[in-house]
Amino acid sequence: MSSVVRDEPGNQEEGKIIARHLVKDYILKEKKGLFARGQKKVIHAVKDLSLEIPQGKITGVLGINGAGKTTTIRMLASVIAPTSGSLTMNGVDAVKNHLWVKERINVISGGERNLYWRLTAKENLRYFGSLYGLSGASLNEKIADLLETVDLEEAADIPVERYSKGMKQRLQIARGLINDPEYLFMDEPTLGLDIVIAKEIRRLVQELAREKKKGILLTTHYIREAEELCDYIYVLDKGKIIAQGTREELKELFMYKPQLLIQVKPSDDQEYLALLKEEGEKTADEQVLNLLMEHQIQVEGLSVQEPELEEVLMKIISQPDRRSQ
Amino acid sequence: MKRILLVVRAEILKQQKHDYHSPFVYFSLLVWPVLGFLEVYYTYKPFEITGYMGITDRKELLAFLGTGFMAYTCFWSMIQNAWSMANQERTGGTLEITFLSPANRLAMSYGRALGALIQEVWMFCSFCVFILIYTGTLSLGNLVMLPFIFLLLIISSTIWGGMLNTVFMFSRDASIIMDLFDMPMTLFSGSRIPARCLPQWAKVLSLVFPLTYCLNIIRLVLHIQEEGNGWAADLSGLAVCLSIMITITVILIQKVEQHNRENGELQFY
Ligand SMILES: Nc1ncnc2c1ncn2[C@@H]1O[C@H](COP(=O)(O)OP(=O)(O)O)[C@@H](O)[C@H]1O
Ligand SMILES: [Mg+2]
Repeated sequence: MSSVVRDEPGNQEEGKIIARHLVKDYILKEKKGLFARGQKKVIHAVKDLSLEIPQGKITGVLGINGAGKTTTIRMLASVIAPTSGSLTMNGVDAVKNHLWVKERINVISGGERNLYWRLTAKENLRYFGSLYGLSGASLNEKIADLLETVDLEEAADIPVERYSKGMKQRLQIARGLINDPEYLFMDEPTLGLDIVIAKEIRRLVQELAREKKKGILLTTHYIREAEELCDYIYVLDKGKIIAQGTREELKELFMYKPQLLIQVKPSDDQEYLALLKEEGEKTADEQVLNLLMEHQIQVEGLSVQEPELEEVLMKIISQPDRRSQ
Repeated sequence: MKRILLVVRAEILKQQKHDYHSPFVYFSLLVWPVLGFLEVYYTYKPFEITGYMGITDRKELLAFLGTGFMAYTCFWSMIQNAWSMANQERTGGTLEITFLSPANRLAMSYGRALGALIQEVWMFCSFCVFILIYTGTLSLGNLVMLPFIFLLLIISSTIWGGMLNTVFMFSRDASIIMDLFDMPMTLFSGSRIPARCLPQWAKVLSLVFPLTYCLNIIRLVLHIQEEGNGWAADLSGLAVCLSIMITITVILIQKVEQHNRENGELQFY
């Protein structure tokens, strides 16, 4: 499309998206009746965000609802322009050359939207492919390839409205790969999916980074997902990065004592409590289990309590010397 | 250029696939318009002998309404489609996704209009052509005019539809356009009532609609209800009207992009 001038070509900027001090303010006009002029309200969705997305790596943005994850993605993907700050892709100013950027990136969001439900998978991909200037045999080949990648070959000619959630999500991934993007932005891609499908999608994300060398930015509010997938993690809260580091560096932060929940028959719980009192505080899980076995109390359920992201955020915020930028 | 044509073609195909469903769709594409046509025809028929509206026989009335309804349907389908597609693309989240691509925005807008036009009016237009042949308005002698008429209608309604599509992308509250344009366009542009029967102020209003010029030209070449203006006036009127609409479209689509980049508006529904 348009020719692009590289501002400061340097090796450091090749193969990376670099964001420096990005700010996004949304201006809302409050509605106040028919004639009263509403006041303008500014929402600071993202405040001073700096991050890097290298190719071949998975970069994670971890945050609760409303933290600013989607706004961050939309800004990095050149859908919306930052209020201030700089954004470069492979050394090119991405704010000025947003159409150039759009050729080379794509966005995949969690959820079932962003597809034409009345069209089949093939028809959807053909349409979106055409928007990127693809056509003919090469487009058909690409579509066949992608349908295989996301394992939708059998459903290729069925309208999307008949798909399950997981199938729609996989088709979205195929859609996001149609222009063979250098960078891929994934906004909570496993949101609301059941465990097996979520796992499948995580495997695919890993493959895309490791084998296809795409630079991936992934947002999530699951700590486990960030830990499992991401090479580098930014923790976002109220539009600010409050912690960052590699998996290993953040391990301590995310460390938690997994709490073992043991469920016993309701009729046995008095007996169990009495036992615990008798034996004193039992902290180690295996000690508790042994005790239960000894006294032949039937266990009905076992589960490990995961830490809540909120708890981790509280932990970071309360640390006086927290790693922030 | 090739990429622009690709986008237009993709939009046409998408429209076609999107609207292809049950046979009930034929009611809205054919049966209702035909009933509307008949209603107006039987309303006017008693006046036929009075020579009111300058129409003196049944065949001329049929030909007058046949051309009027054909052109009107093309333009009206654009309004309707712009409204319904804009809603669907917004709620489906696909509007934002199309803007995520680098595709030419004008090509998307015009492609959608052209796609809807081809998809939605061909059946009723065939009916109108049948009426024109039945009344002898179209005969072997002037059949060459038919492609010209189609071309005129396709170009004008696509430009009109592209503008409306952009307006609906620009604002979620544009449904008022539906009401704003429907009645005046029906009344003033001469699809059912000849312009010569209208008061002066209404004639001025009718100049806003490209439909007015299209109808004048079509009726002129088919020798129905010949009015005094002649070729040149109507063709140049149409050209001016279409250029203004293209200009509005180009400006508006830049605004859509700019607003979206500032506020992320296309995500809302
Ligand atoms: N287009 C918008 N206009 C106004 N405010 C918005 C818009 N998008 C998001 N916001 C606000 O910005 C904040 C961050 O939202 P978002 O980026 O969607 O967070 P997340 O994806 O982490 O849940 C929220 O307070 C949200 O209400
Ligand atoms: Mg979000």
